[in-house]
Amino acid sequence: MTIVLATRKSAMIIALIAFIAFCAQAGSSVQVARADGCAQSGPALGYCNYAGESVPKYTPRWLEVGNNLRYWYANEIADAYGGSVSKCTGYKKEGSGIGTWLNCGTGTFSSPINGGYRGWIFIEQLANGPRIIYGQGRHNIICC
Amino acid sequence: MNTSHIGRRNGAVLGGLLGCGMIVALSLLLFSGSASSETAPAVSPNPTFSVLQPDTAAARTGLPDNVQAWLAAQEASALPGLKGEELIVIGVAQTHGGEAVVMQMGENVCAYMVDQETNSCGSVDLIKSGSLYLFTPGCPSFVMGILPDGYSEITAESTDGKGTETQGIPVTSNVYTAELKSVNTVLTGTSNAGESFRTELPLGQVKASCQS
Repeated sequence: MTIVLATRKSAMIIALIAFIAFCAQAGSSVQVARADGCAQSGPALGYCNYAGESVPKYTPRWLEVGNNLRYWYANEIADAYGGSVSKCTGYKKEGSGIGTWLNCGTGTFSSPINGGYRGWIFIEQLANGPRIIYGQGRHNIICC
Repeated sequence: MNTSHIGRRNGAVLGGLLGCGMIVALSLLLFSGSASSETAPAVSPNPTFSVLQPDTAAARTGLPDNVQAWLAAQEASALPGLKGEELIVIGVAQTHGGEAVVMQMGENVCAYMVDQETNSCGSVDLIKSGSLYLFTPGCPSFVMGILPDGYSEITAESTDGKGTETQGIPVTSNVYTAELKSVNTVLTGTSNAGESFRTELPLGQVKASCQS
């Protein structure tokens, strides 16, 4: 009897944790992109690759929220359709409310970011339907 | 049929073939010998983009610092298209919007706007279709793009609630730049070879940036 009660209690706790996790995910207003990882490419320069997945129109894909507050130099973007997708790079300064577009276009391009500000980076696409886009941010790894 | 006649004819054919083969082999030897004794450029200038010239150490050293930094960053890039691609040819275009450094890296052609520190890269096919463009949202938006040889001017038609405005945009050394209203815009052009393109610029889709 005791074992049955304990098992039932454990199952309820697991279900509750799963429910909380589900609510947190569904309630999130920010689309978080999977980060392929960050690496050091020089004495003071690092880069992070992100997204590489299908994104709906006008849906910013932020690089790993919570781990991407850095002094960014540039945000670069590409797509999986020979560069034909119209897409944008974006940036949000630390302390500011909303992200702003840096550059938009086709092909592969990078947008410079004033390295004097810490912030977050994102990418999004403007096609009429989900498209696979890739992002890469380059940042200062000494200062932060 | 006389078999000795056939034998003589076959012998003549065989002899002719051997003779031709020797001449071809000799020609190849002579050709390869003369080619190796000269210092020929590794890569010819790109026939589609006359602004591009073979990359040399002197040309690369003379590039602005921000272009060199960008080139170095591409070595570490993991994005599709540019990683590991070798810089082959290079050129400079003096556009209406400032200096643009044009480069071919592998199968891609790129333009780097020196003052704006923005750049755009795309395949030759994408560029030939007139579809490679980059814009910085604003009021007005700064637009740049790359085109193959043969275009001297293209046309921008910007449409908003008040009507349509038409503006000519010069193309200098395969690059065009313009400042355009942040409204729906169509670029059209016809080359002197009769090829044409029509590209929609989604400038109106990022209109919100005008408030900043």
